[in-house]
Amino acid sequence: MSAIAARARATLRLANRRRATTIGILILSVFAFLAVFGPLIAPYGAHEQVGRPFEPPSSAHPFGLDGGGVDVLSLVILGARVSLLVGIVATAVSIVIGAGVGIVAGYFGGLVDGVLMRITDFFLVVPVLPLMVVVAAVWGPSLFHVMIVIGALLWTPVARVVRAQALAVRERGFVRRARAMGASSGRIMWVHVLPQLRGLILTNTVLMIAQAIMAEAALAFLGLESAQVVSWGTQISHAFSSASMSAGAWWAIVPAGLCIAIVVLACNLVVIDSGEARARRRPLHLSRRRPRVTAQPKALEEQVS
Amino acid sequence: MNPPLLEVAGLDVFYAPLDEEPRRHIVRDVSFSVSTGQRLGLVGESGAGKSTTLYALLGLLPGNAEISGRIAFEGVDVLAAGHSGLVALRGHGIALVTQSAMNALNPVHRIGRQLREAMPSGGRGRAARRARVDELLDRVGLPPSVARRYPHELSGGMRQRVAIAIALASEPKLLLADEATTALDTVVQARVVELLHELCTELDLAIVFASHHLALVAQLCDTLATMYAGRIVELGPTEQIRDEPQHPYTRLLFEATPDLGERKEHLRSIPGAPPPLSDVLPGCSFEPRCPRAVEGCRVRNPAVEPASHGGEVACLRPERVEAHG
Repeated sequence: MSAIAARARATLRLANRRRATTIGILILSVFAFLAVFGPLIAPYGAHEQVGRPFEPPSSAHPFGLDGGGVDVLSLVILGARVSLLVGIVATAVSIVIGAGVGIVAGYFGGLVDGVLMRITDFFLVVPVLPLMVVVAAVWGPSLFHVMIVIGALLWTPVARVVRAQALAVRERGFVRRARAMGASSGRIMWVHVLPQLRGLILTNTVLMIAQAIMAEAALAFLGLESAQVVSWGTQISHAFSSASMSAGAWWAIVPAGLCIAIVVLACNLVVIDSGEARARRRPLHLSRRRPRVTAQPKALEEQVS
Repeated sequence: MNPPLLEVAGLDVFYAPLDEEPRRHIVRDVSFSVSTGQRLGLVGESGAGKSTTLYALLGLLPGNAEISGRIAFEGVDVLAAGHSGLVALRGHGIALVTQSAMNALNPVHRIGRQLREAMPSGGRGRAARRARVDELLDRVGLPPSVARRYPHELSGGMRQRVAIAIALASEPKLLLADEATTALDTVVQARVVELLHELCTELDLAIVFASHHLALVAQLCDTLATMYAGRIVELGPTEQIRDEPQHPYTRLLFEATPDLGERKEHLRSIPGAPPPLSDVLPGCSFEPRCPRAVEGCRVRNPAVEPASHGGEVACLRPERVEAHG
């Protein structure tokens, strides 16, 4: 038990020192909770008309009603699921592609590196949003397509940073040693190179979630997501198309936008203390914990006498 | 006498030019053999081709290297099969302990995992593999608790021991040690050399130990090969070479090495530097720095010939015992 207690204390200490990360994780946890249990929490359904259109916020409907007379609070809660899902799936797709391309290019170098990086450059210079619009339009509006399109277009920065690190790691002695012991290239990449990059990949993953959620909102706003889907993006899109702003119903559009902003902010808070930002600061173990120094070295004295 | 475990004959390594540079001839016509239980020391200054020779044996050189010659392991010419023949030796019969153990361990994995990784795959259960980890650690004189540690928690000497244990995990017959003790302090160096000596006798392991640390090599190895500018210029039993070096370079190397046993007024250094390896040298590569050089040394590259100490020497004017006194 004491071991668990000690661990808990250590975690709390770390949480205290990494406040930004902790706050970010807490915010994301709240939204994750909403995404999972949304339908149980939301007071009304997503297509349920509970009053007249654009009813202002009241005690019964804290965020008011939208153009269809649907409770905005319920929509925001229910929308978390799709927005986070798109964020996570699209991120997973782009991290797998990006890290995969980056590690292979960096590890093998030479021609492989050249070809993969030129492909990466190609995807990098393609204007992402228009391409997303085109692809989503050709494939038709669907949640699945949105996830794949976002994932397939956001991987380039990951590939580049992962490659840069893989280039450095492959020159390390243990990589040569593993090769000398007969390890295959695949094994070296998976067991020896990838773990060295995990901080980098994790940081990029979290930031990518933020990007993907914004991309989802953008695509939904442009009407490239099925109108039946309930997400923060489609909410903003509906509010816009039902002229909520000209009706003065700011409450139909602000909550969803705010949710997106808060999640993006939370993602950035999580990683603000990691990676490069952290490297420039004093390492943790130097700033707080110091080795215990006894004033009089007893053992030495005993030895002498 | 046993048939040699490893036989290298006429090994040449070239580096193809990257730009306008001439092709560089890094290892020149190197021949040696190692039998089971034998300890061969490769000595020479930096750039003499010691490491390149070792890495060539496992096909670990960069892509622009061209290797030719004969490399036979247990009687099979592995180089005949090309690069893949060398790759097949990795972890199967030959293991490598690299320069500076600091980098040879993966910082994110525990020692136990890195040991298990190097074990031959298949045929062994989880428990047996764990038992083998303890056994390997014990072999190199480390407690079993080290298996749960990360490399940064160990001292340099311990890491070098772990690196040796990892090499042993693949159950090799031949251990290649490339400057395996160079990053360590003298006391630890001596211990590691002692450990290698022990392993060699107990496990019937052959060792090729490349180092510029002549005293250490002489202590560990029964056979000594002096390399200069990519060639083995002298090869023979350690004691005889130490007592009566035939090649001027070997003698100068010994004179440049401090020795506790005898008092030397001055440690001699060898003036000059090795020739650039791009050159096609018509004569002896050591000629410009050699105190005994004569006119003929500049035009004729000496062949490797049997020497009076029972080994071989490549010199037109090998030193005789009389030359010493």
